[in-house]
Amino acid sequence: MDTNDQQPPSFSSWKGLYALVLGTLAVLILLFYWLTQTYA
Amino acid sequence: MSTLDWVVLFGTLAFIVTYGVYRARGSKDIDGYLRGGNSFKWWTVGLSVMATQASAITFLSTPGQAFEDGMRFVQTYLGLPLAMIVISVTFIPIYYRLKVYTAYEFLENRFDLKTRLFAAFLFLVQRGLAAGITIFAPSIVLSTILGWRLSVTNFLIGMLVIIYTVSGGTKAVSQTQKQQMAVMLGGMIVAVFVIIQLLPEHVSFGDAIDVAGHMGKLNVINFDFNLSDRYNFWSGITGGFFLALSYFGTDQSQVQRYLVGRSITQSRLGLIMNGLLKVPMQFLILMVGVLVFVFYQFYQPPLFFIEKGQESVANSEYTEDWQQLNQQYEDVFEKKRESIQTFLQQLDEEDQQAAETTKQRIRALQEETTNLKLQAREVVAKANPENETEDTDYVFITFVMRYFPQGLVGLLLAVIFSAAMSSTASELNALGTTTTIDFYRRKVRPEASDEHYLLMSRLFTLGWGIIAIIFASLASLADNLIEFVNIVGSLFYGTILGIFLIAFYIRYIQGNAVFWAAVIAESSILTLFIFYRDQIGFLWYNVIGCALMIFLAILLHPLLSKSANK
Repeated sequence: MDTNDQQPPSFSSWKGLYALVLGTLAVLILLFYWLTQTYA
Repeated sequence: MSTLDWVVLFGTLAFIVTYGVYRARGSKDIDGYLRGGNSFKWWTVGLSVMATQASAITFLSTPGQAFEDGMRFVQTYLGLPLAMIVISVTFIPIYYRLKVYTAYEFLENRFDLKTRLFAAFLFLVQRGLAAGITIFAPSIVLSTILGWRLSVTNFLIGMLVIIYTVSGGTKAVSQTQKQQMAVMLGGMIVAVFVIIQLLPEHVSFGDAIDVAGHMGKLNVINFDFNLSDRYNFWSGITGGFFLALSYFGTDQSQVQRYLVGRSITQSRLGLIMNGLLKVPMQFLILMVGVLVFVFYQFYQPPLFFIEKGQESVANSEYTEDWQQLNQQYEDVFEKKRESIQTFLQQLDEEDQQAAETTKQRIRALQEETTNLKLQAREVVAKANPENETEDTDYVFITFVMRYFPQGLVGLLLAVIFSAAMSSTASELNALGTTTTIDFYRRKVRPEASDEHYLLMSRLFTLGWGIIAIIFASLASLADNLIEFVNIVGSLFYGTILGIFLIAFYIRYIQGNAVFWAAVIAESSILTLFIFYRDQIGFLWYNVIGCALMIFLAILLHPLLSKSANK
């Protein structure tokens, strides 16, 4: 079991990858909101 | 079902089981059997995590949910990506550092034995019940559709899973889940294309979206706060966050999936993959239900989706009532279909005023349709009180059986069986592991050999498999299966999560306070559910249970630490 932590691929730090997850969630919420409002 | 469908269905299942057994050859010690020898890369971890959560209920119930209620169910998953980040940052490094087999081992390290055993016990109760439901849910639908006896489908799903889970343990479970997830995702993408192809020639995908939207099915996000509303943004982002944090962070059936990672990095990446893909995947599955709804605006759907129920009415004194209802239903359908065609034409001609009037007419007709369906359910219940009246879970599978081309019916059934097998395998694997590590090795035989624990793990997994099949045979159908499983989980997850959050973040609180707070919090949640279940949406039980657990532990800490010091 390797307990050493490494950088994620294509990102300089884990923070960058977590920001991608949060950004994707924000985009999805905006998209869902737009879809809902279009037919509200 | 055609021969080709049977070949596709049994070919897929036989391949997955054989592959699982084949890959299990290497599991000769307890570490390999319970932790897969920590040999997996992030995509296997990610697919395994996703396949564990995606049970057959997901593929049967979710499209039906969208068909009836629109897309708003997706909000339940909005808190999940946030939970993946918290688990990656906090939970995974600790589990790896302590080299645990189960999440509950950590609790003894942090608190004491009784807290570990209590949390493990709550897990066994909750997951033991859920394992029965994950077999039962697809069984009841598949037995109705295929005309098999319920006990046969229960036994078939249960036994297929037991074969490779008992023989290969965690390694077999994680390896087979890659194939199962590929079948599931592939099957759902194919389903979307097939449904679009089946729409009438003059109805494009854009038209279908317009029809769904104007008929209130694209109600994805609702920002209005309402405690009794099951699905809104606030319950999804908070309740969904707590549910996901507890499920992925403390439920052994998930913890075991990412502890197989080759390193902390691989486990973290697997969870992040889930955080990125889960919401779009649920959206896709709900969209399948919405497209089925649109399809049924152009082709007459049955008044009631369960054939057994229809037959039961046909053989009862309510035949005439049924025929009358059916006639009204067909009349309303024809009017609605014409109105929708007119509506699409008006949208094309950009005649907004006329389109708005037609839309109101369509909505009124849709309301009439809903009322007629409710009346039909009453008739089905009157014909035989034992009849199942909730037909939501049958909408998608009935559609597949009736309209999908040869070969693809077998593929979609393979999706449902694969999903049932993947989640059941994780559950049995985790139940066997927890029983072995947290109870048997810790309390019954602490000094036995590795071979002995390996044998006991296999026996406990087999035992839980048999219990799950028995539960599945005794279960009765809840209103909506996916909701039922989430409700059962929500009753226990808040307390368990509270224990773990205190363990991670409130360092000064010790075992006694946590144990008694957990007992009181869990009793309170069960009492709340018994008396106020109609007033409180189920996702909130995760928040309430967790908050209550932390509050009580803080309150009890000074009292119990003083008495312990004396």
